[in-house]
Amino acid sequence: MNLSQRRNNKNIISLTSISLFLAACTGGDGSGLPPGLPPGAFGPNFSEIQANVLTPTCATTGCHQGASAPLGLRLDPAASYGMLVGVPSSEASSVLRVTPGDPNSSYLIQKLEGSASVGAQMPLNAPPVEQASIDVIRQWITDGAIDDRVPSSAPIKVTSLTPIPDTALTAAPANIVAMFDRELDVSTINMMTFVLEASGGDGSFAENNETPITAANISATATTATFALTGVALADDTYRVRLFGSGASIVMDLDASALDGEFSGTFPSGDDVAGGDFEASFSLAVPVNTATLDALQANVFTPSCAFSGCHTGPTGSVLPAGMDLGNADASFASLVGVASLQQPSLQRVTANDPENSYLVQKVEGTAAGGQRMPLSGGALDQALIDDIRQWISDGANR
Amino acid sequence: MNTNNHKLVGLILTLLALLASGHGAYAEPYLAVQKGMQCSSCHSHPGGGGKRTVYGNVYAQSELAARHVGDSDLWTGEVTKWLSIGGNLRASFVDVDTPNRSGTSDSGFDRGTFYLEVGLIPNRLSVYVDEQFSPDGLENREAYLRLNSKNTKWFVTAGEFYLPFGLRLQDDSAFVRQASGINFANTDRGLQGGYNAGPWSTIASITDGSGSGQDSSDNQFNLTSSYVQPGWHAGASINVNNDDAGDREMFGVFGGYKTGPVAWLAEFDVISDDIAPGVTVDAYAGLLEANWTIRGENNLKFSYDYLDPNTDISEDHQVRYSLVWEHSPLQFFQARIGYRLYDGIPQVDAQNRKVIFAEVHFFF
Repeated sequence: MNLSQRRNNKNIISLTSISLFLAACTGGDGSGLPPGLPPGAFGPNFSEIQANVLTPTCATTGCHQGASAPLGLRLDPAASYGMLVGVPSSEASSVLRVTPGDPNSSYLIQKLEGSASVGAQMPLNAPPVEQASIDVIRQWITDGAIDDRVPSSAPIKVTSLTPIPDTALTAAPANIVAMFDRELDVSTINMMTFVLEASGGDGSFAENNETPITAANISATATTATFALTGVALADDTYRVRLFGSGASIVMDLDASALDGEFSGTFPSGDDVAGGDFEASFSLAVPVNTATLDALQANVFTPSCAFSGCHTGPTGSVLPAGMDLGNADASFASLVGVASLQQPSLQRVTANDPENSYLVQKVEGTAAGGQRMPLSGGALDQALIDDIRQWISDGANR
Repeated sequence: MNTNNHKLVGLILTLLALLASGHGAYAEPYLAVQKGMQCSSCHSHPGGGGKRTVYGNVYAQSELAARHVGDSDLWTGEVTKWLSIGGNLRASFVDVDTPNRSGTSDSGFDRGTFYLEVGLIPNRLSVYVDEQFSPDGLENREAYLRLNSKNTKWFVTAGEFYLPFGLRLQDDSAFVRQASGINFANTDRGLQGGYNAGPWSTIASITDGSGSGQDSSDNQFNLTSSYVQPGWHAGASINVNNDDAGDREMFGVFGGYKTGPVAWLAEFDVISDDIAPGVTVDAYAGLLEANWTIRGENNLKFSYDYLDPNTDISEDHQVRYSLVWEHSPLQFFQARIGYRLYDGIPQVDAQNRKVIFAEVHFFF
């Protein structure tokens, strides 16, 4: 046996010995921990979710525990509720980690089910959480994501608000929804205690020019208060939502304890002392829709098409292609569903189909016949053409 | 050019690269042990990982691969004097058998990354970017500026980077990497400085401690030092991450030893986490790994992982056994198949799963 063979044999013996030794070092029998429950065999409350899912699966060493938790998201018992409920995700800031009442819009559920738009399904490098357990978490969120560990002597607090405070909306919300950490006295939610007001255009609420907004309806269920805005026109402005915990009319829980409402940007609200108003604001700026016929008339047809000698003129005058684009009504009548004279197989505007609308082909210069329009003044900006396309895609409505 | 000539070219380039860099090279810690070199010999980052150096590329083509096909010229990663690039693409099939659950199988791209290093002043000042392009589109992993001293022994780095702690394993699911939280899933932002020459490598970092996300009022301090000799190396790491809500402290020792064709790796970490006021959890994580290299292109890896997540709780520890065969039939390509057996507490089914996996890895 040569030196190399002896070395190999020595390595084989070493590897085998160590393998056998390590094989005897098995995992723990779990006797130092409470017995486990089958997936989903626990209640839809936070303390049981923490004990059966978050602590054993997420708040493990090196993961969502302690100072080095990824994305700063700690899910150990002391921190998890405050880091989940009503808190925007770090990966997708427009989504709350837990949106009380709406599991489908809760990033926690999206990450557990693998449907989140960013990043990997959680838990990382491990099998997914059983769907039965996720369903329990869904139920807890649907029920309002209440923290059942809060002692009953603590004052009632706001756990989330929709729209999210300090967001800039581009469409008016249908409702203002506040969630609470315990059951409300629903009779205390009314137009005196739940208030929405516009700043008066200056973005500030100190000038006494604020305008109160009258709700379509104000309602409350166990842990939710809703300020309905159906049919209520909201102008572009900054809005303030107020829930009163001090004064003559206040929000209270079932023990007649006043709302602990002070809000400094993070949920839940409050300073752990009953009493105090909740105030949060959001802004609304609805973009102007330039893809309407009236807008196109003003931005395209009137300045670029309907000048003297072109597509406008007194009744009876000879219009190019017989097409009057002098005003919106005339443009609609001349364009939508009307066959092109140059290309009779195409309509000038075919609703919902910009590609097969002769108007688009003419302004983009792709038409089979004639010259690109407008004849003078240069081609239209692509942004204007995009507006035309959008108007047609939207149905080419008058 | 015949095979002998290929080897000759590879050897010459390897020697030239070694002379140029002053020290050596490789892609996984066991390779560094086998060759008696620092991680930075093969990788641009002083702590290892990421883009390969000229020597790393040459080694991968001339020694790691069973054969070199195609043109005899070797890829060095250097596009111009000022620009070098690299990349990785990993795809895998994974079958997981978890007690009391239906088995699951999954396949697809795990990760595609692209590396770019611009030597603004060659060997002195460079910009480095590590970008993940798959899955989920572009995502920045590392981006930093590095300044080397004139003799290249000292360096300072500023930007976003991976911290070095313990063995720089590719497998993020190894308990030592998972429990330390310092792995290829987490970068941090800050400053790094170090000394990297001869047998010594020492890297000190001060970072946000943000875990890639939340702002923290305090900082994270990290120090790793290792000493390399032919046939063995040893090192230690310390990490302190202060946070308003509680601190984390870690200490680890690691090393490697070569016995013939087998390279042994070991690491043991002690981790202390403040999880609530007055509540501290201490954890132990360990790794023992044997890599049996059969010729250059085959490696049989056996590893044993140990994790005690809370030393105050009895019988809550987990272990993991892995048997992995790695094969590099030709340059830029490595295949890997393996089996992992997890053994943990009976209350958590996922801690008792069995995993079979196959992975292909393209790199340059």
